[in-house]
Amino acid sequence: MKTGQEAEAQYAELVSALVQMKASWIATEVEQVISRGKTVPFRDLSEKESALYESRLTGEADRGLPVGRAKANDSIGVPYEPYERLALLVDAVERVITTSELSYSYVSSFATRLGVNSLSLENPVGAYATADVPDARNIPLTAPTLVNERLAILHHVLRDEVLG
Amino acid sequence: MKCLVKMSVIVSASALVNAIQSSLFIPIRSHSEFTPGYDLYEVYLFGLCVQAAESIGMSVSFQDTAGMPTNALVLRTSPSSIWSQTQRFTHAALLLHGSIRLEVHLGIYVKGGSGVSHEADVAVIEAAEAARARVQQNDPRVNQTAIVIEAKFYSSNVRLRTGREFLGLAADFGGGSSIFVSSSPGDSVHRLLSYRSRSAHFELVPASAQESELKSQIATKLRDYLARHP
Repeated sequence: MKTGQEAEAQYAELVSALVQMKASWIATEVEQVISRGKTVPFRDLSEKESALYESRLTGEADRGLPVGRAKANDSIGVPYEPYERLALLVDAVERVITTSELSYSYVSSFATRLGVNSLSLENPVGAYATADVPDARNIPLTAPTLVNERLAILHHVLRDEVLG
Repeated sequence: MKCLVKMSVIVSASALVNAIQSSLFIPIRSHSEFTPGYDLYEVYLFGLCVQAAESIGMSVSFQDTAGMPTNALVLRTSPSSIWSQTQRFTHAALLLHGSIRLEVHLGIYVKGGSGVSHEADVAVIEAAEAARARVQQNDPRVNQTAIVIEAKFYSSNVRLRTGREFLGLAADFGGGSSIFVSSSPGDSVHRLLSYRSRSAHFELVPASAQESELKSQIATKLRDYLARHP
């Protein structure tokens, strides 16, 4: 598993790939999750986080605000480690691709079963003021092939090579 | 003794682009707060409503806003009025014993109990109410609506704010017609909605166990609605 600087470098490469595919919104959503951090029980704090906790506690006490020491089960907010940040991004990418592909597969089969000849997604007039969003998009109704195989290969790349 | 440290290989952005693109049949799209717009995930949920109706003995046909039958579906990428004639958006007409009873729409406005109209990602409406709305150029009322689905296609955990917004929407829609559906997990939101007894489905993707649960819930709601509105 990639950790530390390797995980950070790999994270940056994956973000760059998403930008190239105009899917940077995935990284933006993940970065919102990362910015909120996670919570762990006080007893499980790492040495580094324990020291930071003590420093915050002392800081508040020095300002005259009496804060009691956390109990073993109290939740303490800590930042995600680099390998966790990479794992969150990998999860998000895989979730989006899997959901998109399976949704497309479902829609294609639904359309065929009900005799639908064509499917178009159209913006209601005036819905978007930006040229980035096309007015209409025809969804091909060809049944996608090897969906599970393609998703399995992607799963391997993301889990075994990207996470490492 | 030599100590061997295994170095991982960083997969480059270009290799990742190739790997991801070769796994995709069509480009990635989304319906998230960063790229607003309905896409295939919402069409999938539209399809699930139709399938659930079929499972309780209803049949389906597709119509445009003028009531003309069509097999060329045109669906919205963002909400608009059910009565808008500018574009001929399609809805699914659900028939029971040969007559149209309900309509399934993607992305329309529905009037809540307060009289304020809200976006409904997927809505199943009484056909007579939909017809009234088209004639009067007004939004359909929620008390004539069997199901409203709030769909969230997110990559990461559903944010608490989204859950709070759904609670507000569900309060104005009243009754039990509203269902929250997300492609991603959301532990805090799930806890919040469950505590407030609101229907919610997380990590819902096609062919998942959650899909069967949702389809069955939709079928039950449709059956109950038809029993209450014979």
